[in-house]
Amino acid sequence: MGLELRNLSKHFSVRTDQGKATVRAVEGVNLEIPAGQTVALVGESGCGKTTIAKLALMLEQPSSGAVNFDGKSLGEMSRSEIKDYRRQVQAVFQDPYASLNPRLTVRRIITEPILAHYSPDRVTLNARVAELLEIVGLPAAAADLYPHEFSGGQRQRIAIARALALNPKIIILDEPISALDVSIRAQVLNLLMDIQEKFGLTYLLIAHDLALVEHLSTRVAVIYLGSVVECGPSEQIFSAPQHPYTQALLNAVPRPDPDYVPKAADGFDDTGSALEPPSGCKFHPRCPYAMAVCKIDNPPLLKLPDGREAACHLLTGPHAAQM
Amino acid sequence: MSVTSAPTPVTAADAPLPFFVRFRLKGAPWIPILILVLVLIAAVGGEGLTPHDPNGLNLGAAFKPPFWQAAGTYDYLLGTDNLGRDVLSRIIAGARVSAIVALYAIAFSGAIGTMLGIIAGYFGGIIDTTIIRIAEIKMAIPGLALALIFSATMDPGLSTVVIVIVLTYWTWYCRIIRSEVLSLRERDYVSFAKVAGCGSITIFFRHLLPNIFNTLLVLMTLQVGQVIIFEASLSFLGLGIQAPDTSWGLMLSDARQYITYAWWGITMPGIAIMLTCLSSNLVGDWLRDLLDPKRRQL
Amino acid sequence: MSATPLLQVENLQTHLHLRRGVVKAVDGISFEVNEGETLGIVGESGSGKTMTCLSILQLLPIHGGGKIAGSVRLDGEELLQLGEEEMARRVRGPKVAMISQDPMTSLNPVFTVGDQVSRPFLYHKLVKTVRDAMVAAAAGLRRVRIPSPERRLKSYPHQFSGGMRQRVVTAMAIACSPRLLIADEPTTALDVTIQVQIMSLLRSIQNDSKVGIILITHDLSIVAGLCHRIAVMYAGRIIETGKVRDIYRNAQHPYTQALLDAIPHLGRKRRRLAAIPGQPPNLMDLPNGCRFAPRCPRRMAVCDEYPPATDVGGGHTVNCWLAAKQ
Repeated sequence: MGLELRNLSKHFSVRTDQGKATVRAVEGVNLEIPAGQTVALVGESGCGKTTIAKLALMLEQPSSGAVNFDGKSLGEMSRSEIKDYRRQVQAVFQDPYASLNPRLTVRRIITEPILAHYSPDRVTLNARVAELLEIVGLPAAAADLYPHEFSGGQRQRIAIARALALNPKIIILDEPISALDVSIRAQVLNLLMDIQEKFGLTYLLIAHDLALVEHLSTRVAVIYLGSVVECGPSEQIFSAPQHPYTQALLNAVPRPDPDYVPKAADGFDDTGSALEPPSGCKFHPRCPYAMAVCKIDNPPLLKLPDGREAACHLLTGPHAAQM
Repeated sequence: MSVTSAPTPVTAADAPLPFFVRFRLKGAPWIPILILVLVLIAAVGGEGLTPHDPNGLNLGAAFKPPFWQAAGTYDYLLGTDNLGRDVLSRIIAGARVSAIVALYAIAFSGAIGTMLGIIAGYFGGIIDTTIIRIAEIKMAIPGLALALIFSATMDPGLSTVVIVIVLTYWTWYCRIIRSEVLSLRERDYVSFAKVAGCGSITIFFRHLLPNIFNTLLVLMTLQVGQVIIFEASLSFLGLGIQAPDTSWGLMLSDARQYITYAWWGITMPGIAIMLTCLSSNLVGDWLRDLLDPKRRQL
Repeated sequence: MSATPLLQVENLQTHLHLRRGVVKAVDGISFEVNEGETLGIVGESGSGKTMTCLSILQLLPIHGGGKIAGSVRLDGEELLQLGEEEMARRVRGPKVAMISQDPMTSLNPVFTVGDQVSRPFLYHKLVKTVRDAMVAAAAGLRRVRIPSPERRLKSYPHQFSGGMRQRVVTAMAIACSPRLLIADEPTTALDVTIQVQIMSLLRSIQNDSKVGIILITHDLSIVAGLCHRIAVMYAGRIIETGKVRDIYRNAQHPYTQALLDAIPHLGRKRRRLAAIPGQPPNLMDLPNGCRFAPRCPRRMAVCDEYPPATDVGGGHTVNCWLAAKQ
């Protein structure tokens, strides 16, 4: 029971100063999210990772390609199959202040997914609410309060309880802790790991914080301007990043160590724009190793000998020898 | 770093009280509420409550000033008009028209405008464009021109006034609610409701409507004043309420020509309109705070 | 340490009087910043770090019912006794400048960048004509390493990326060569790759101008490379302060230790992180004793009383009974 992104693309048309233009938010992404694993999508803001999450949640329709669940494309599912998909796949969003309706009590927030699919009696429902609150470590009395009465970390626990309400198989985590205080992050992170183990969940993690990604994920896909540039098991990516972009990302991560100075790569001032992506390899204007071929030819995502995939002329094709 | 993010310890004692207990009467705007209640009593009671017949002519008692003036009597507390009709009685009788017009016009224009605004904002695309274009065309026609057209084709009277006001004001709600919904539909909790498998109806009534309620309430209470004045201008132009019925607007219109020597004729209904509008705005603000779970506990 | 510190804050208290009660946002803190020094103020939301800086600038929310007490001396001059007019003319801008968290909202979208960057020069009468101000603005943009600044002066903020906007804001902040720069989470809204750039920009500005910097953040990993000293705030008070190496290598307060342990490090994959249990206290209802005690794994009976500041050597002070007892 896994998710699979097959050649997935999403284009938006936008109006700019120069008239209409197309933003290629997601461009030909292939990715497998095997059951029980945590696959992370990392990249800078605007790279399309959140759009991929929305496509997987059926909040957006792909321009081409497909999201497959159990081998079946979401676009070809019948109504009842979609309803079943909605039961299996849930989400936790970044901002715990925006993701809970301020006008509803916690009880109504948590029971919303249940009531969308079943009509249990009151006793069963209340027992389920108490159970869910206990799983996420909130007191039972929390059920009758409103979201504003909780801190950010507690709200994120409520959001997690809501995501668990239907016993889903897959949870899509869109920056689940980046809006939280540092001392609270670890609590929520531990909770996410505990419930994954307890319920055998599959996670698709969207994050820009590489330290978090290393901590939580089993596989990583690095996205640059809508395309995967490097993808593989977490240990490989973090111990020996191959793509120059992955290297630059990792080098920039600050560490709680006064003697460590993160390296600022030259030309890293501007993240590229998906509105006017550069020719050839989209990363070449920022790449310290850019060659002539990079401006013309977009390197394909190819399997490297160690099993990971990367899209770079340095690593694959005739130029690989130069590395 | 905001103060509101200070965490609240969760204990059983924090469990909410029943709604009617939480209906905090402390700090309620008592005077405005009282005024609105009086207007409603007057509207319901109508002529049964008036000290004099509001249409009772008594030319001998014409232009009596209010009681506190030298020539005034306690018989006519707020004086009389050019035909000797008691101003107080006419204000009480006119309250009915004002209240009916305000309630119906606001209810209908609010309901129509809000529904169309939610539909336009939520579904977007061609539906949105169509609704907004119609609203823009409507807004290009001056309200009074619309009123003139309608009065020419329909009998002037209460229902015409209500129809004209609804046709004039629905766009107001529609545009503001639409822009509110445009931002609300992007909220994560709406996304989550879709992810959880909720239908559009659930999202409408659970996630959109309660969250536009603040705006709606403010719009509606602000509109009370506008509607009463709109009715007054229609009646003033002879397109609204027709004698022998009366309304506050009609009273203004009747008293206008005698303003130099019978100021009370125009001032008293003017004060009634002003107090009603002000009260409805204040009560509206209070209700908004009362119905907001966050403000309720501040 | 030089004779008089650039900024000396003593027993600063900022209490917000709300309808619900008094929020002790800043509750008696003292610290100093020397010329050319960067002080990192680290704390969670609600710890009072932003309020501290707003208090230095006397920019509390108007309707917040804020009351500031204590002493804030800049170059020996007491700022809390200055009126609004003097603060605006003489202090904010020429002496103390601020960079805020969100580069999206700190620029006005309807004016060109040139307009906005040149404004401080005109307002503080550093130049006479608009043309001179534009020249100064271009020089300012060059200082923050924005390429082709003359051309960029005519652009509007939306034509800049987030990192570039933060550079523009920085250019405005250092326009009048302030003595003290307050940076409130200057990189939180930016990508890591851009974050590094802004941090190195701040460092080079400091090397050039000897400006004192207060860097506010919730993330200990961001400030490690940039700060000389760190002050850790918890619930309105500074609980530990010291040189950056002392804090990172030899943290004494259980809260500081816990904060360091709770950060996921690159290259240190662990199954579980050491989470700090519980929530920060409610600022309207603070415990009498140590404010971290309810969450502290090493709580003792004596923690019911507020711990005194204990110097553990080299200007490293800790408000914790564990240190006091040794």
